[in-house]
Amino acid sequence: MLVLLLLILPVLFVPILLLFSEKQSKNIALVAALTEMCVGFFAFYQYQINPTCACFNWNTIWIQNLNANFHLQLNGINSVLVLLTTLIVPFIIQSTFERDIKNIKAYLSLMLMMQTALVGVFLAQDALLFYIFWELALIPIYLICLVFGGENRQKITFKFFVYTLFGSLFMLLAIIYVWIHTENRSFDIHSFYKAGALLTAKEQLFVFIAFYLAFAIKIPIFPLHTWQPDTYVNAPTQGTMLLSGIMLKMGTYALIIWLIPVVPLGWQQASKYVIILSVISVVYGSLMALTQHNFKRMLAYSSIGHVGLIAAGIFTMNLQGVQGAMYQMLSHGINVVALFFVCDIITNRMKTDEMHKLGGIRNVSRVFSVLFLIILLGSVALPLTNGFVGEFLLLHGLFQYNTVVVVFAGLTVILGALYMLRAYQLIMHGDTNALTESFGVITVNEKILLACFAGLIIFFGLFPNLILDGSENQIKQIIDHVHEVTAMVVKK
Amino acid sequence: MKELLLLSGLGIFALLAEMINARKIIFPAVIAGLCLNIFFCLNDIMAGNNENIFNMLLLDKIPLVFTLLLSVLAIFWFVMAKNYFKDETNLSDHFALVLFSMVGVFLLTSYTHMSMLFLGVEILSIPVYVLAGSDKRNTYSNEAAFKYFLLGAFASGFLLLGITFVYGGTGSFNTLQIASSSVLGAGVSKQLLTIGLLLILFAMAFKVSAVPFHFWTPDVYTGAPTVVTAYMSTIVKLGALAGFYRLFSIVLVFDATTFTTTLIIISVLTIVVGNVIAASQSNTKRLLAFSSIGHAGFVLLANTMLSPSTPYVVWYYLTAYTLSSMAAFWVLIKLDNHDISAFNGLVKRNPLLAGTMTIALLSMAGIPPMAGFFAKYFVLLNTIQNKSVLIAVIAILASLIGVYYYFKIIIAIFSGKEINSAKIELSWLDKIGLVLISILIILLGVLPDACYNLLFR
Repeated sequence: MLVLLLLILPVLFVPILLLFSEKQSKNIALVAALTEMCVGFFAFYQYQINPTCACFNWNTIWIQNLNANFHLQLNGINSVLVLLTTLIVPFIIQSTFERDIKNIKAYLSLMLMMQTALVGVFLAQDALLFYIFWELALIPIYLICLVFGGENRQKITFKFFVYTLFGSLFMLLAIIYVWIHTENRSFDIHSFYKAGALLTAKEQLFVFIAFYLAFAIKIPIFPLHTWQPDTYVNAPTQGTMLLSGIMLKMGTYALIIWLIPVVPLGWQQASKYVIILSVISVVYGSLMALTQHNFKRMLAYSSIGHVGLIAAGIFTMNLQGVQGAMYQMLSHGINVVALFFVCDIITNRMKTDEMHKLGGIRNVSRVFSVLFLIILLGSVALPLTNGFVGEFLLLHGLFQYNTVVVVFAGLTVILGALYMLRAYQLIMHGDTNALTESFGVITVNEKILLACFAGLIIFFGLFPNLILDGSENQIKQIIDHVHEVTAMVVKK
Repeated sequence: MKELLLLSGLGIFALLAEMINARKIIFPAVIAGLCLNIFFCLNDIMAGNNENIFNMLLLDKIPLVFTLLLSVLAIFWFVMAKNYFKDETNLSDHFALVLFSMVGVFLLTSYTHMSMLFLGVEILSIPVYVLAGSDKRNTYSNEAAFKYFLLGAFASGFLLLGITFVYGGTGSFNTLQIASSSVLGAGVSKQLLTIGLLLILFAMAFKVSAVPFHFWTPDVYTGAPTVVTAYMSTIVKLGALAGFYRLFSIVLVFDATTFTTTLIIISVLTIVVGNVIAASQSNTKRLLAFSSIGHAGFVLLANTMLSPSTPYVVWYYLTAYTLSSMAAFWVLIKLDNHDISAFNGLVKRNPLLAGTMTIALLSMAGIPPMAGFFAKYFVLLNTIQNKSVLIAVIAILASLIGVYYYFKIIIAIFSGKEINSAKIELSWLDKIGLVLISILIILLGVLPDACYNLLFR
């Protein structure tokens, strides 16, 4: 029951929200998101105490002919992502406060619908249901970007949509292909694991590629990233937050659950290449970030670098790599949303996010500069911040895989510090110019939000075990399954 | 039998209503009649009746299910076209023509005798030739009627010739006898049979506007009055594709190799050409015409990939497509003109129209949770199960092109600069119809096997 509540709660608030006035609707949306957050926390906490509780499982028949079930289940891995989603959305909704947005009701309703779809993606244990939620998440975010985006939004959002849909259609093909090979024609994730392992090596490789296309586009991984910078820059702030904070985690989560364990042999054959591609995204994203003049665009490229590292860690399929990826998914979600909020504060006041036009904001608003620095250091992965734990584990995992790879992947730490501190220098340091003098102080609402972000960054930097302990068992199971299947083939 | 009598009776009543001064009650009477027809169909389906009418028609489950769909669509269509009928002087003729052509659809869904196939095609087409030209003072409408009639008559010739050849080959008009005698092979001329069936295939391909027999479609769809175009792209298409299914589901069983290859080539071409050309259109009516060609291709593909689920797949695809298409045309009728720019900023002018159009287009593009997604999904499933992964990939890529042009309209609706910012007023009947049709599209998509459990089991 609890999982069903988690899924539908945000959408239940949509009709209520539409009844209220424009001004009130923001509060209603915040109440919705906070209620969902409480349920999310409760579920996460309950799961740590009693993971076998029946309330974490919801299974009803959905399409009898296809043997598809409406099967939601909270487990070690997706509880972290559900926690992330429920934690971040209230922040995203609160960031609309004090901003003038036309049609705010539609905007907030779309966000709440998006939340339902995202929670659905993470909870679904049935391939068809997973696919439906995967696509369902695309429609609200597309409308958010299309209706509320910046200049030239039609072309850019369209590119984004077609890109992602292109990938998902191949995923659909792969799902059907595995499904017709399952024993009793079932979409259940475990029968997928069984059926996938029995495919021949060549079939597994094709299925792997079809799935990989969908996930790599969503994440995005070089060379399928070309939709990302434009979309991030053009989308409204909250759209960017949703995209980078939560939506791309759909891709990395699916790598762990739906790709590698379904076709272990496909992973075995392709892992070398996909890890190299991921590491290329790390270096490419970081280098591109270093050359940007526009703050938001720089953040977009830095995101490519960070998620490239997550993907590389997952493809190593060892405990440290995947656990690091789990943790980094959570911390990247928090950090990137915080950074985009900082960017929103700056653009809202300065009407520009060109970094060389800014400078000296430190002299105007001290509180802002301190909080910005903490958030930024989280993203740079300084010890005691959440970014450090994730990146350390990821690099450790990669190190076990290959030493050469880790040298290149490790560049992310150095380059990350370089472009982030350069941005900080350009925006905050230096002499205050005519433009930045008008920056003023930041409002209470913004202060609270930034302080919460900074608090979360340090909190998760200090207590990583809260998250890592929960996911460890299930990740071990998946890794064991993968290695078992690949070992069996070697014996043959 | 009662469904047939009811439909023709309604047609005759509409024709005579003008004489007995009952013009006002035609509309309510027709709607009531169609509701009664839905009830008859449901009743027969539940009772599991297999009525055989003089060895000409066989009302087993599949024709009844198609007739049910026909009646539902017809109700929507009459509500949508209510204003169109208002300004017309010869009201009862129009009602009668539409109802008679529905009788043709009914025959096409249920025939077992070749002469009924021919009669069905003719009864379906001739009223539509007239309706296509019903905007008398518009040259394009006249052109549409003329083109449609000439080419249609030509296709009917092929059909008749084909039926003759088949009769010459097997000595029978009965589809089941043709099938069984050709399997046994005694006293059957294979060559005559194959030529005959190929000719019938071409004629039917013309009716469903499959490539390369599709050239009439865009001009006729654009020229005809928009309500008639809506009629052609939903109910006429339903009739033609149901007739196609009726014949070739039997034919394919006994001569799989020749016809499967031909049909696969035709359906893949239809999917690809329909979608590719639609992508370059700027007139919405034309765009929908080409996209309807693409959808017909998907139904043909479903026809080709025979499996126990084929009837349901064909029916579900047709339901999803016709409902979405009806909704799209409904919105189109309310707009000033048929250029895509007419959709600009529609969301501000009337949110209900914008919402319905978006749902309809998302459904046609095959995005979950709309009905169109599962329609495509079922077809692809059967295709992959028949080991034709390559064809599935082609179909997927073609439907991706579909996303391109459907989204052109969606983008215009939500972010285009409106040319005319006047609000659009809707009558309450329109509102109910639009909401109902949207709910149906979503409901079918969320519970794709509800209809199966209800009707096909």
